[in-house]
Amino acid sequence: MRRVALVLAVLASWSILLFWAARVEPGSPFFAAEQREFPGDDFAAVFGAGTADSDRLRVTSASADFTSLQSLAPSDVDAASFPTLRYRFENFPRTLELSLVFRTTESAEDVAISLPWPGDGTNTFDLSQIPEWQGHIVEIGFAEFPVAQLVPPGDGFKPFELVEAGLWSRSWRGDLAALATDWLGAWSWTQRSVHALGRDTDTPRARSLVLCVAIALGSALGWIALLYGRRTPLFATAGLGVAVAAWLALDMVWQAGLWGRLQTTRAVYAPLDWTARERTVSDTDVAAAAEKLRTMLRGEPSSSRILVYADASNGYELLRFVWHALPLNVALYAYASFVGNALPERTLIVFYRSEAWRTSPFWRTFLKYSEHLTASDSIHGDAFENEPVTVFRFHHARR
Amino acid sequence: MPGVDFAYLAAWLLPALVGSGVWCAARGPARGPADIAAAIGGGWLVGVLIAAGCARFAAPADTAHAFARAWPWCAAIGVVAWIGAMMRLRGHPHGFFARPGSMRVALRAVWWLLLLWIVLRLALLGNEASLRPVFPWDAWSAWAVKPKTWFLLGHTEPYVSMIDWLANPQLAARTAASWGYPELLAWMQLWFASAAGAWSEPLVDVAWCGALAAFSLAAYGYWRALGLVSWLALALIYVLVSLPLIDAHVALAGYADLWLALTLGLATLAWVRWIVDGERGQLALAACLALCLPAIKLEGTVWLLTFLGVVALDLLPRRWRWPTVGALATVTVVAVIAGAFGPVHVAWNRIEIPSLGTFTLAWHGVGGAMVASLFTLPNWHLFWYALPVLLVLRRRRFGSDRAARMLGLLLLVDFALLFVLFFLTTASAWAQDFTSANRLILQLVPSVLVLAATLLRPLQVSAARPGTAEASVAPSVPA
Repeated sequence: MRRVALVLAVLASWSILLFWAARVEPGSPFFAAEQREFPGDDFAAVFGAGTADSDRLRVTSASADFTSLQSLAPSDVDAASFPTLRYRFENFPRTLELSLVFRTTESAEDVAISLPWPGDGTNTFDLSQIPEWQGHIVEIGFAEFPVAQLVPPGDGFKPFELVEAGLWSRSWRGDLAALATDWLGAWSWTQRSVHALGRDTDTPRARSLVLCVAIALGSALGWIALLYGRRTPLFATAGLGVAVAAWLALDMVWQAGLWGRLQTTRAVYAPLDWTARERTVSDTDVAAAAEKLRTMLRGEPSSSRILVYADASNGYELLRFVWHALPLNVALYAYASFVGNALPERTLIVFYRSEAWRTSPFWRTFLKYSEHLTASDSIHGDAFENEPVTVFRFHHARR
Repeated sequence: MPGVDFAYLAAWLLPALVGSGVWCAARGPARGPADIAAAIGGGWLVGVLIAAGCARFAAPADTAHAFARAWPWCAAIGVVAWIGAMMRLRGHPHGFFARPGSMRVALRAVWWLLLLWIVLRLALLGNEASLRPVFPWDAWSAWAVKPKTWFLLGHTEPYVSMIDWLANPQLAARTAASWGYPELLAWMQLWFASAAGAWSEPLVDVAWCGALAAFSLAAYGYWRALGLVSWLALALIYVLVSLPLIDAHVALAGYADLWLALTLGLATLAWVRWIVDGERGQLALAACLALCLPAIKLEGTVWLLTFLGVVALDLLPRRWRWPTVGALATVTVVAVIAGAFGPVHVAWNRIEIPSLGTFTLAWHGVGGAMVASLFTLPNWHLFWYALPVLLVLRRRRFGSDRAARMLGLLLLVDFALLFVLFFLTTASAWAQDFTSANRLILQLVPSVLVLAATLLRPLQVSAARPGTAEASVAPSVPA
């Protein structure tokens, strides 16, 4: 009898926990009362190309900037009435990231929300956690682009199919499905992954799986202690068993996530040999610019000081440019700017994707006596404005 | 063209041969087959540090051939170490190859399943690391800058501050934001890159996976020698290998935190073994590993100081301990007043550390972010939930087991320092923005697992260690 009571109590506790985690509203129905379904062929390819193919949209190519976007203008969709998004793709490549994009009457700006990699099954997302999901929806769609900082843009796109999407009113089923997608969804590595996992994306997330598993474990132990006592062998055995199961459950989810991330990496790098792996980077244009600089300065002594300047918005790219430019004796101009005009004579100043040398009065004065190097063996000239790098040899005074 | 050829394989095998020789020379009488695991695993980590040190001294003028320049020195150290090991092995006829104990069938099955899962995880992480160029931010903007530059240049050039770099334009020198970072890891990267024959980040970065595998092997050996039954020792290894943030640092190799964590972890393993068994070689090994910490990462200096402090405290006779602590506290207070901390300026409300910055002391409410990092984000599974439970259940061990008490004290001091850093200084921003806080905690995690193993080991009262008035404890013979 106690055993039955224990099982019932634990199941009841876990169910309540699950409903809390999924933010289920007790008053909502189990099935969504209102559903707006959009077959894939209702969507139009805005960026990239796509063709309708038996109720689905087959996206065959990306646009010139490697992104693709499919959207539709739904009629009479009030955001508050439809807080659950359902979507299904097929053959979605591991090398692409997926975002939900929408516009409302309240804001002219597009809102883009990263979604987990969709796989081939139906995914669900809780839109009620997105502050911008309010008002009247005038356009909704999906955007795809190569996984940021991981996949070279040219290697990202492969054809896939948008099968269907839908908007549901609030329901238990929708909330629980959204929780499942959140907890089990596959996300890519990001720069933040070595600092704190789970913070890799700005997408609003469901309640923590780790916390819920810990509470589930604690509640199970609590019930065992209440019904059988804390000092019984059953408490120790069952406690250890439940703890191990909880850990394994978390680790299975993590293992699946690792596997998914590895598939993204393998899709790009596995076919390559060691040399090609080293050279295959996601920021191909930055690497090309750095290569150009190295070619320009191949005759320079290795002790030549090189300072790189970029506009403030280019921080990440600037650092990557410096990395790709190694082994040039290169550093960031920002860290040297405190010396002002006291820069060593013949210091090389590189403008990375910046027109400041031409447009900024400060720089025009600063470089007044400096020599403008061109890509063709340091011949004076002031063409090449569209080059990714512009190089000056700094002189204090007229030579 | 880089590749997995004989030289690259030798770059992996030689550290294991050399390091295991050093480990065996430092070891006391053989305890059983677990020593094989400890010797190979711990040996590889020790060997890689030795190899990096040899490269540092043998190849600054020819970095592209660092492996070719350094391996003879490395091998010579290995030969000397193995001669020492053989001399110590004489008189212990069982050597490494004592018979393993028996296990119940169910536990044997659990053991094999755990091993399979661990190997699978390491293979997956190693595959990820060996596929792509270096990815995480600081890995390419800080840690790999020196080795890449030196390798491609063919020789080393000193890294100096921006001021010195600009003030001496004729000097063959470089600068970077990370100019003051320690260089042992850079030399380790050069060791593998030069063996591969090219600057190949995938071939370099897979060493991070090797480090985790090596530590796992070493810890298994040490914990078995401490008396932990096989499945429990392997379960603790599984706990370590399954931790998501540890895995992330292997898969996205390039940060120094993992190496710091594993080196400190290996030092604590050797130290605990010395406390338990009195093997002086293990104490020497622990000290050498601890001395490497500042050469890996700047925070290593802090962990070294706390490690040496607690080890020294442990070595003192009990009646001298509190007077020594009191005297040190007095000296610290006087030094703060006199401003006598050398380049480190300490005031009542401010600490200035060169290369790290100025930390103003004031309360910062980052409890929410820290709780999220440890308990809700998927960084640590249930590790920080389970640890307090274990500490409470085994609290009496801190009274009866010197190893648990001293290691507990070390970790208490280390975590107290992290508490001060995150809650009382402007470094709280690192916790608030979820950047460095988890990585600093990661540096202590292997040592926390060593404490867990120490608390879980079976105890037998043995004779008191000479020089202490306290009875120590020794493990039961491994099952």
